[in-house]
Amino acid sequence: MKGGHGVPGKSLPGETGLWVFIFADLGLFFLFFVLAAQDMAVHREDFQTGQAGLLTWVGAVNTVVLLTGSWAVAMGTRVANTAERASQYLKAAALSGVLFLGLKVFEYAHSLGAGHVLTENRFYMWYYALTAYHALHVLVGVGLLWLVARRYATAQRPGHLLVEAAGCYWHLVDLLWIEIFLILYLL
Amino acid sequence: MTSAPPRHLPAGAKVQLWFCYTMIPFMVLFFAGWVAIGHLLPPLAPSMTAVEVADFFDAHRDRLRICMMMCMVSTVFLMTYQAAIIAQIARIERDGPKVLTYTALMAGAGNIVSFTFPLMFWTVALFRVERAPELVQLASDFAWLPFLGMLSPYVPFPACVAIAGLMDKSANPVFPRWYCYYTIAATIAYLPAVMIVFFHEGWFAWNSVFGWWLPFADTFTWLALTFWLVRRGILAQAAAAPDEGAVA
Repeated sequence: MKGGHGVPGKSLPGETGLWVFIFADLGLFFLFFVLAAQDMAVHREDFQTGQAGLLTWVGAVNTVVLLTGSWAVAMGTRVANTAERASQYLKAAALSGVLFLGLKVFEYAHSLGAGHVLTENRFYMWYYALTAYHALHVLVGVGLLWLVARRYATAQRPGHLLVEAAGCYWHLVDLLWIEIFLILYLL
Repeated sequence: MTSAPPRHLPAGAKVQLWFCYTMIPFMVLFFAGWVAIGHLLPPLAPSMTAVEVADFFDAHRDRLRICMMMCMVSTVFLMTYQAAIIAQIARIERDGPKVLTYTALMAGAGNIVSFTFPLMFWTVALFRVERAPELVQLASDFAWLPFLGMLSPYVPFPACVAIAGLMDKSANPVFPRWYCYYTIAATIAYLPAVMIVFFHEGWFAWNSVFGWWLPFADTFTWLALTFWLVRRGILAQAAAAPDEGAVA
């Protein structure tokens, strides 16, 4: 993956391409949200009782965790002026993702322990599907941030396209979580 | 756009183009069989009872048998078309360890299996439609679940194309970076289809948005877009290095 980024005229296509991915992924989540909203309108009671059974405080803590991660990513990719600082910020951001996933496992254990499964009703279908799909995104993001952080920590500096890709992707993960949190826990 | 193709294509480029163009008979045969003859668009609902499934197969037995035969034949051309795509991965990996080429080759071969075996199971259901409805339904379920839910051989194929495309350092890459990123997103969009095993109805059921319409549209759009790029790439390679076309 190293090299190639310094080639004149190469940086713009890379960035444009990344945005194709981001908008396609956003499009898919948009489809999820529209269909979930329709189910919410039809199965209002299931959603209300389902929401009451969720650990809202865990969802809220996870929102703060991800926002802190996003702050660390912004610091690591834009503000940090040494490679060592950048690496530390990005590792902290990756750890925020790990913490998020740990809390997610705790939340799943709570829901499953209370006997709620994916096929119970439309609310739990969306609860497990949306959060699991998002958690998969978080997992990939953790790997990506760790990769960039390691490149900063060693002499091999990451290309700016990779840093930007990791940063944009993490902000996407964050944005999607806020929407999921709103739809499943609050609305 | 790339330069105009040379008037006389080298033999290597010609054979690659032929293989690339087999996407057309694949799609024509599949759509003619599946949609025009089989009327399987949209597919049977997973919520249908055993008697309903058996009645459906019984009422349309010959039409569905022809549908299965045509779809079976279409997979021959899927095989050759996938080979044309894999040849481009092999060209990108020419000097490397070729792991993406081998992975794509296995995934492509797996795709043929996960395509043909469901067709065979439907044929089993149709072969003796007069038997107990539960058995007809069992054969039908054997077909629908892997046909739409077998992510394993399908997903690595476009993923290999995307990774190879992003690794391509040549002056005129076959797969532009936007296409590689699109392919990654399209591959991820296929993943919710794995949920068909849980639901008989709702958005994740095999006849609904995430079990059928999204993967279906996703796969055929990707195959068509990839056809255009591979064809363009073969012509550009032939124009750039007329003698090299044979190597690929």
